[in-house]
Amino acid sequence: MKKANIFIAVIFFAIISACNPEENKLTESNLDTDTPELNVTDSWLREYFTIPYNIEVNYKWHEGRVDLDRYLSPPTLEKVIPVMDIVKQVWIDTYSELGGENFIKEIAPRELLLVGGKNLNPSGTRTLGFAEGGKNIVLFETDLINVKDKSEVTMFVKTIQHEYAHILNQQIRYDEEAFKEITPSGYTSQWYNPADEEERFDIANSQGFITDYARLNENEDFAEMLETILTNNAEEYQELLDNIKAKIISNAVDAALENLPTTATQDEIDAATQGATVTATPEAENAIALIKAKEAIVADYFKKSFNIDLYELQKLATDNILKAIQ
Amino acid sequence: MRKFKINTCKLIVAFVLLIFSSCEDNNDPELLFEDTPAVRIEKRIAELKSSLQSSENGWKITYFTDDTELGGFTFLFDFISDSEVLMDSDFGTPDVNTASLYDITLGSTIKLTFTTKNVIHELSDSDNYPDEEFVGQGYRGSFEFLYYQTDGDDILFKSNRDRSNIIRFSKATESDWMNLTANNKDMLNNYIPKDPLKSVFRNLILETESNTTLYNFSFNAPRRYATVTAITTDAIESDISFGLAPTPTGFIISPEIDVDGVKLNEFNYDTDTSEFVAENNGVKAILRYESDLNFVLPSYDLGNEPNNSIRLYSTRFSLNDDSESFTQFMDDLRAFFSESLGGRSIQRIYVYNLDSDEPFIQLRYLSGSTTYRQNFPVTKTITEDALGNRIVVFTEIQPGNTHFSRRGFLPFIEYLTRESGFYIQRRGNLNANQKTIGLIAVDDFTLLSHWYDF
Repeated sequence: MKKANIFIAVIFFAIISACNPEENKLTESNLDTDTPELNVTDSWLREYFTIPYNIEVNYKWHEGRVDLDRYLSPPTLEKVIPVMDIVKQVWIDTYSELGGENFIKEIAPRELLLVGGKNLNPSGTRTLGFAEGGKNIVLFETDLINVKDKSEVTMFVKTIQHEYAHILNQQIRYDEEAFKEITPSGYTSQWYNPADEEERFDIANSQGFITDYARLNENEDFAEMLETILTNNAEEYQELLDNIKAKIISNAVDAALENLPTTATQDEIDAATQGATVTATPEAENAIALIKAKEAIVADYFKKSFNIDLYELQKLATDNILKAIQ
Repeated sequence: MRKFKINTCKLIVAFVLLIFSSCEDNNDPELLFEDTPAVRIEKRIAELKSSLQSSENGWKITYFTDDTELGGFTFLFDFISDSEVLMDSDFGTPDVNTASLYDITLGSTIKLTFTTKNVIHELSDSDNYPDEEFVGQGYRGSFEFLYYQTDGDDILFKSNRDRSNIIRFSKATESDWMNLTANNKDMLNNYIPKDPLKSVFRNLILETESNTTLYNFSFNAPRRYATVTAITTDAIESDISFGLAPTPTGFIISPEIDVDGVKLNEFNYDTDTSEFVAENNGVKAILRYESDLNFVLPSYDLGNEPNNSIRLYSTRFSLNDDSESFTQFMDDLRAFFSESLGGRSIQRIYVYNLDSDEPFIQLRYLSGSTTYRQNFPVTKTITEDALGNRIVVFTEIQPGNTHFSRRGFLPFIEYLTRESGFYIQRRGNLNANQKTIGLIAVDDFTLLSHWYDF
């Protein structure tokens, strides 16, 4: 029995010691875990975007962040700060002033990606920017903007205002049903036809759309409305609407005159002009009314969702463009 | 039956042995390398970083982005720190004094990426292209290079866009930074394109011990690409087109010319003869301006075609392919005509009735708002050279037309009735409806005029 106990003890010892390989001590990581050195641009972006707003601004090329089949290139280092300063002044500062300091902190894309050159499609059209799932916004042509030129800066800022509209909409819904009902039959995936931009705008405007792209769907329509309002001050915006109206009427007159025989007398020409004007005026007024109805929903959305007056926002955003280009 | 007796002690010993041996670890993967993969990757990154920075004068590459349609572009890189690089190039608009950023990271393998814009990105700019066919593609370049291997002092990378494209980084010298790109540009702009004042025939001649093959050579400067197609009818390779990258002494090509395993890729310029020559192991390629017609031109049977009158192309269309010398001659002629004839101007020039023995040159000129015409009768003789190329000689029938307009038109009559005559070449049609004919002066290969028949 005693022997048996010894054997049992041996077995027990054997079992507990059998699978006891020596643990390796934890050593330093094999990977390079050093904090990368920050250059002046990195520090600036950190100070004005990443730390206050938790927005990462990526300007260095990163394969896979954009379409690999495209021929795109990163921005010039020296041009990053001037361009991002515009973004800060026109977008962040505007919303922060009216919506409160936390506005952008709470609702913002988490990444802004900069691409220096044009994103030119083989067909010759070009993409200015896009937003993915509210998480990131890609801005193209950052190398090409003259930061002192109002129209170039406005064009660039449009992209952000447009994409940010989507991000706001993803946080708090607008009245999509009501918005969609204003011009229900005008939406089309073929918004980019015909090829001529002026013709496209004529079609879109006459149907109650602010731009050609607004015809894609109600969400783009909303974003295009907001983008237009925030990049044109009150007077410019009114002028834009007046021009739409005048263009609808003049197009109708042109069409009427084209149908006249070449032998038409001045009286006949006058009569055709007047006839077309009389018919087209209510159509033009209707188109403007449709745009205004959309504008009302946008204004209402800002008031109810964020307690922001759209027209104050418009004034500040457009003033800030002027400030930014100084 | 014998009872099977179990000895407890033996059983326990066996059991203990079993337990001891049960944990023998023989499943561990054999470590083929000294370090784990993560360590090896980090080491390779560090190695590449330090070797890129170790070259005192940086590196140079000649990058053929797509040698089926484009040529090569030379870049100099100086990796001045762990993150900054200076560049120069014979392409685009380099700024050698402004650094951009680079990084070495793990992609599909370890790769070198030029992370902010510098001149190399001009190859990958969708809006910067050599011609309409490349809209949206730039010059099809990459600015990410996959670390592949070292070869002596050189480092080999693969293009991230086209992994079959190997790019060699060689050490640059101080003098490369002083003058390489300027010399390349000089070669590219002044010597590689066809000299408009030299013979209109510029061919590539491929010589081996046993035979000689003649190729047409046509250089597209924006693409840096040469279309090289055989003139010799029984050529083994009928198309040896290549991309071309200028060097200070000539150019290198890709793909190489391969003649039974002997490869030619480097052409050197000979200032005395204006020839580019590549030579290797008994095989020689020469790019030269031809002063003799030692090949057969596409033929046009002047006088026996359905249409038997021709008009000088440049008197109808501004777009034409006339040689520089002939264009200059016509400009001078027009000026001389107006000057000699009180402001009258040349409108059209024809040769009519080529199917007869006595055709005539017709001049139409404008005086005030009225067009007048004058005919200058000639005889026409057609002969063939040893290779079968047709030569036409026009001779003015005497006494010639002595109308006063002759005075201003005389240089043209003299040009067209030159004693040596003209080689007749069927040319690619410049307009859709008529055949285009080239007349090349036999005694002056710089004079090529275009005509169309009707």
